[in-house]
Amino acid sequence: MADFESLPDVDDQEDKRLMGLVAQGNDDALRLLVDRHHARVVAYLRSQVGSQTTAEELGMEVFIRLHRAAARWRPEAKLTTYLIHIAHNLVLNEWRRKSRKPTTALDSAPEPGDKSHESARRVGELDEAFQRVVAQLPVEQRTAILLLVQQDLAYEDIAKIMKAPVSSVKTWIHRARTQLRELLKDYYETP
Amino acid sequence: MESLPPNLESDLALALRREATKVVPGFSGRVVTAVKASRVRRKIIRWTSLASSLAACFVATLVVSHNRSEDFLIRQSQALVMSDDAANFNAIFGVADDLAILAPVMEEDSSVVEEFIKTDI
Repeated sequence: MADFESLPDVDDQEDKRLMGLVAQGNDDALRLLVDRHHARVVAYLRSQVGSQTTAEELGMEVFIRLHRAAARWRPEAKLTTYLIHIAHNLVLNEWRRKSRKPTTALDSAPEPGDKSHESARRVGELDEAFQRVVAQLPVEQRTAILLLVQQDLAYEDIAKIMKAPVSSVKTWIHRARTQLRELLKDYYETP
Repeated sequence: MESLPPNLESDLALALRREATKVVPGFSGRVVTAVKASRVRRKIIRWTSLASSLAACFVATLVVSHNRSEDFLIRQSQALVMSDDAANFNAIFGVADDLAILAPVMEEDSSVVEEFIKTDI
């Protein structure tokens, strides 16, 4: 996975320092933490709920909960894992609230990229294609593949977040890969 | 584990991670505003709760003191009633006293008394 574009460098020590300040009621530290992490949290939520607006609302709730928990937060796990854990629980609540588990997460197409530039257009198309196929995966497979590939979490962390054994996580990811290969076959075979 | 076609896995990772780098303009400002609002809300709830507790204590104190004054009133009323009864008794016994005062006079030989005795009322 060395060729993959890496997520913004997230310094764990800096997160811990900022969380300490947030616990003391420092809003600037909170703002910095949000700036550092909101993109990946909102991306995960958007991939799961399919709506940018809902994803942003839930994303705000993630950070409000983080703020509330700051005083009793213990840096046993990475803050990113903790945030995704909160986000995942909110996704489950959202599904419960809507009384349905979405079979397709994306109700609307992702925001288009810069269409004026050909390469940007192609990148936009590629992103859209991947978002669509990931959205078509069953919930467990989608969650597992998002946490692994998008959030770069370890199998053990994914298992904790999904409250499932590691073996189940591996199975879901294997099935997700198989299904993705099938769904994207046409895309890759088209010259 | 089965692998995806050559570029597929890297493309998937690129696409998903590119999503995870899309910054939402003004998001942190919105979060801080929401947190501040939440803080104010919690402060209001805390103070309201405290005020409610104090009000409850005040009402409880009033009720207790009211009960005490009621008891006091009852005792006062009973005392009054008793004193009223005493007054009645006094009135009765007062007459008796008057009679008692008159008794020696009545016992003494007196024409007036004799007249009284003789008189058929």
